[in-house]
Amino acid sequence: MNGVAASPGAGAGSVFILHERTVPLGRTGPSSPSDGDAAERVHLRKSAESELERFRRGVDVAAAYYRGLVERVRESVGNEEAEIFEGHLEILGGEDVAEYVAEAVLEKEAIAERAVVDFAEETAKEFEALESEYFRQRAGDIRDIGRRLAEAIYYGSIADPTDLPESSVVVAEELTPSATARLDTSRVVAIATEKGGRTSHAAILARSLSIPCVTGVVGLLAAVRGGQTVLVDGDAGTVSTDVDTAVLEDVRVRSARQREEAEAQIRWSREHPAQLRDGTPVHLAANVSGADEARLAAQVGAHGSGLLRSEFIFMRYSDFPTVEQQTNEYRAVCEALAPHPVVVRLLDCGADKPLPYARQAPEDNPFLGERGIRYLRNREVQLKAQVEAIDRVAREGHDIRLMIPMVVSREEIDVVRTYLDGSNLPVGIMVETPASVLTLKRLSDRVDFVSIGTNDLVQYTLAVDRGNAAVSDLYRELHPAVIAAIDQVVEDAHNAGIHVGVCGDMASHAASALALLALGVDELSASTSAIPDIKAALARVDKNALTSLGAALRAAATADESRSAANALALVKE
Amino acid sequence: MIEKTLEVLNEEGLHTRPANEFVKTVKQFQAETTLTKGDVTVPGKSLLKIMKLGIVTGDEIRISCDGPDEEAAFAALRAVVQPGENGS
Repeated sequence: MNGVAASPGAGAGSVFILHERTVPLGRTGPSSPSDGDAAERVHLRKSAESELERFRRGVDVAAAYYRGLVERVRESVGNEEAEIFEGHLEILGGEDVAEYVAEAVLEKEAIAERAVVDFAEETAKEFEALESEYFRQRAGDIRDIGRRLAEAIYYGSIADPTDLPESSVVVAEELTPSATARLDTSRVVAIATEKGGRTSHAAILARSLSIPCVTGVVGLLAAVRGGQTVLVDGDAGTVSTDVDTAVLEDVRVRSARQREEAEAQIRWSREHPAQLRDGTPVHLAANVSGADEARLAAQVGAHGSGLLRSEFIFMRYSDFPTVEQQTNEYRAVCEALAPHPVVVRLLDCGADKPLPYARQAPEDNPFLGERGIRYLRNREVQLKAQVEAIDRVAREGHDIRLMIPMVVSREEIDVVRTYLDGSNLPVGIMVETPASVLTLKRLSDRVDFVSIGTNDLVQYTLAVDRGNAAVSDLYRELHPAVIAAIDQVVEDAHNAGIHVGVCGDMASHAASALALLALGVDELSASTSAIPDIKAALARVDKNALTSLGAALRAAATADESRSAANALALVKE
Repeated sequence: MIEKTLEVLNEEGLHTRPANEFVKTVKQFQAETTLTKGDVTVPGKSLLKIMKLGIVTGDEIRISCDGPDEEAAFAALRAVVQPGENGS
């Protein structure tokens, strides 16, 4: 079966079919049929007594599941580990949960699922505040217990994707970012999905974790069954079910070698600055999703972060994080990358990145709908909180900057600025809509920097849905229209004296990254795992070669021509 | 009532597993048991509240048992937090 080669390398293992079961949580407070959540079939509260009964039944279901788990673990791992799950069983049936739920149900009119998840989150936060590393780590256990219990209440059963066997090939229709975040990736040898293209979130995450991945495999779910051995080739973009031992051995050798090479490259990358062969320095930053990834970025020698995807931080919470919580998160990222700058992109949810707790009415056309700054403008409380948190970190003396996603007009910048009266926090915009490209001259006096978000810019410029496998070959990063757009952004920004970064996927591939520099961008922000590759590619070219590439790109009549020119310079094979 | 301060000698402190063992032990007796670390006192049968104390090896904790079988309860609990130590 063929799909899109989304993350390089090959992996073979047993198919694990991942069904993400989302539990609609409603809000704390009375649910009503006019609720936005109704579209997700949120359970409607009848009475406090019925909610308590649902909770009790959920506890019974979850307890039965945990008892089974204790037995399985006792046999497969050992007594000590099994006793840890006995502890989870004890917590699940303990009075602390029951008392909290009773109060939330009786006094806040919560539904049982919401009460359970809120309890887990509050408790997890208390653990995170403890001194001992071991106890801080228990926060994850508590959240896990809460999620399983909520699932048991809503569905009457538990099917847990985190219970993943070793060497699994995760197969799914589509991997949402939150589902991927829940996977025990140490057990994942490869990922294959039926939907999605090269830049879907499963692909981006797989690349940042160096897990081979093929997306957009039509008919995948019908063709494989759980437990079957399959081979995912992330270089060729294929998934094969017919694998013999010789092939498997070959894959094992290949992946072991790739791992060794990757480790050597990371060391090299940390020790060498990003610069061209002639010594011209290049500003090369990393795209990160939180403090953990920021530490990895620092390890490969990233010059700060040109894109902190704050929505990934939000996804780790069960409700909008408070100003305090956000301040702590952003500060941790800044500390990991100090003294280099960190650019925080305001919450960019909606479209392909829904937040479980953010209510949004279903949209016919989510990519043209309420996403990015549009979403935040309709929820000014959240906008204000996030701007305030970023500003606080700036006032503490960290080099942090704010970036607004999905800008099409000046008012969207002004509304953010109203919360920054008297602050020196640098404010920039993502240039990802044709509107912002065409009117940058009229926006540039309101911004301190711009960053080109190539994924959306390419999809909006070429009118191609990057997640639709049927048209994903029309998604061409070096299409003449895209080159013209980037060229114009660079010219207009430089005329206005502002800095141009690129934080899209294009900055993460050697050939495209060189093309961007050839077009005059000042900064690249690439995925952490791509940084060693990009640094190596930079070290092979000099300034004159980039100037010639720039001329070739501007003159190219087709995407193929510009791609050939860029690949030739980056020594990438066609 | 019996109430004594002990140093936690269990090498894992009161991690999930030993803390659950503590709770299971408390539940075997009729005595009302509380556990105190610093100025926070929690009921001996709440695993979660005990874990939230974040008790590690070397911490001083205070165990209080009150009921008809308090002596036996205390001895059993002491064996959990000070495994291998006999008598007082």
